[in-house]
Amino acid sequence: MIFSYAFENNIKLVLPELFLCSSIIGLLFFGSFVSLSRSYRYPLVATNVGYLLILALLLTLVLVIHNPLASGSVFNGVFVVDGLSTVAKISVLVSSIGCLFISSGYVKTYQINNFEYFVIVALAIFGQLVLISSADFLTAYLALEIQSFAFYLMAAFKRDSAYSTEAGLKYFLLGSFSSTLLLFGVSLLYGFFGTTNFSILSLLLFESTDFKTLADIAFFLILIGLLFKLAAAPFHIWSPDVYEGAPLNSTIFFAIVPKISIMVLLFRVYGALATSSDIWGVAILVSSICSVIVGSFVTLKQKRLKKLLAYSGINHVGYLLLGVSMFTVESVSSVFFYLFAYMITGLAMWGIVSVLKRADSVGAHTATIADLGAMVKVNPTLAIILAICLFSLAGVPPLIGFYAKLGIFQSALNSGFFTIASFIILTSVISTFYYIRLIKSAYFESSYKEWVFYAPLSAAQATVITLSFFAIVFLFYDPLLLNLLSYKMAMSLFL
Amino acid sequence: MTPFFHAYAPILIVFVLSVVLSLVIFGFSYLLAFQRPDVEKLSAYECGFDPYEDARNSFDVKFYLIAILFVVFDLETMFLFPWGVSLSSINAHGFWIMIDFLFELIVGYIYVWKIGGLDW
Repeated sequence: MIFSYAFENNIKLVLPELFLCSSIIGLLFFGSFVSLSRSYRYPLVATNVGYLLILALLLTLVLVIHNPLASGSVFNGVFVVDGLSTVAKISVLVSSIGCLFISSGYVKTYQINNFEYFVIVALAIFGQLVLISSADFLTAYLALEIQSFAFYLMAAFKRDSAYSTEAGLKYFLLGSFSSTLLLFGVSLLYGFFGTTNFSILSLLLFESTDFKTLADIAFFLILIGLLFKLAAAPFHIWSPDVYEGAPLNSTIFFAIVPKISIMVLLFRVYGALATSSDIWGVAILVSSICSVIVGSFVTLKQKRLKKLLAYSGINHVGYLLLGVSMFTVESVSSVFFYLFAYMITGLAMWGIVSVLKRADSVGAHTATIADLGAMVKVNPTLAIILAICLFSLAGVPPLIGFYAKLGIFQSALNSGFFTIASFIILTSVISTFYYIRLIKSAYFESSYKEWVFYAPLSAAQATVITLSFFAIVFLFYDPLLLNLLSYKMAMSLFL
Repeated sequence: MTPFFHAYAPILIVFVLSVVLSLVIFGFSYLLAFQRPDVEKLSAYECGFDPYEDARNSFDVKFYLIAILFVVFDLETMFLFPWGVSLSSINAHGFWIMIDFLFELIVGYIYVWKIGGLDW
């Protein structure tokens, strides 16, 4: 049987995705059969499906880490496994498990009793895993769509809330528009070169100069699609509205998990297509500067906590894109370092936001900056963690965020981007203002009129928040682990 | 005869035939049939709705659900036909990939059935 030999190694390489996909089907069957069974009296299985999903993600993590084959490509080169994809998958899985833990309290309080929510989350994670491994525009587009469709549903999941449905519709319309641009770029590339594979495309672009301008147009369209998904500046309009309107458990996901997978795809596309011309570094740099300006100045006017964090996310994407535009080993590894730091800090930060609850119980999606008032008196431990997180996001020295920013700026200076680096450092000073303003309202303002109630932390939430707090503080003293991982990712991209 | 014409001639023939056939059917039914118009017959048929009312009225989401399910399984057939035609020239890999596709659609179908999406 030639067939069985030929696919022996394929199965090993796609085993994590295969396992996750089968578990999604299993969870769907479990949920629909048990929750509608008369003999069990129609039980609520959302929590059980959530915990089973966490178990499935842990097992997927084990399969990713203990893959017998370190690298390889399967299915005619559309799916690759290498150092980059392995580490990126580990970080996606770990951050998703963290997100599920910190949003568990919110899910319980606001009674998200549909087990489908967790199935949709699992599909989003599956899409990201495939996206990280994709080495062909066909797989990349399909994986991106799986992830995006799951996200549209997650944004609109609170059906009885007008904000949530509005967020879902906005996300869907704008997201499908950006997917169209991406698909148009891919179709142009296919028209010129007759292939959608990254490695073959890079060879063709390297060899021939016939279609260089046309390939640049195609890459520009693809870049717009990807920058949209990253919420980088000229294409960022959707992100604050979606973050604000979506239920908090979905917002946590949008904020923390998908950045790394889309960034991996951006690097793969950039490495395949854009090394032949310099203009794409400039395009990404322009987007980076726009993101930093928007993220610094627009955030100053924000009153809502979720919108503020969305704009601060745009700001961080600006720093990331500065690293992407240089595309050296040093800058790529510093981008991944920044992503890890952002992910860790984001887990603690959003964990704290998820326990905020106003006394009139309108829900955490209306939390404003004023709601943080007198946090130091109500819950001093949380206040300290919040302050440390915000200092880390701002990039203040004895914390992990400082190293992340330092790496990006250092690689920018080494590549000779002196003016741009100093400009972005100046705007980062401005962005420090609103982080410190949050700390000010948590520590020095006490609004006794609207006393905010902090929901008691569940063990899972407390564990995630404490662990990420520990990482924020102690990875500064020994960032070797993150350095090694990010360097491994960068090296596997360039070799 | 250029290769271009060879390649696209069947499409041209089908296009012309379909235009002619639709004109014949439409024209003869207009010319030969008895015309006895009334209000109900002349109004456009729009799935049982009044076609000229405000578009913002709410209607039952079940219509939408049925339409979506129809599209999904209609597309399944669209993939099945080329697969069935080319089955003799694709190997076991191609065969099992389609079986996997069908399996995943059946999973969705069972879910929809179980959750009551097919009940009216």
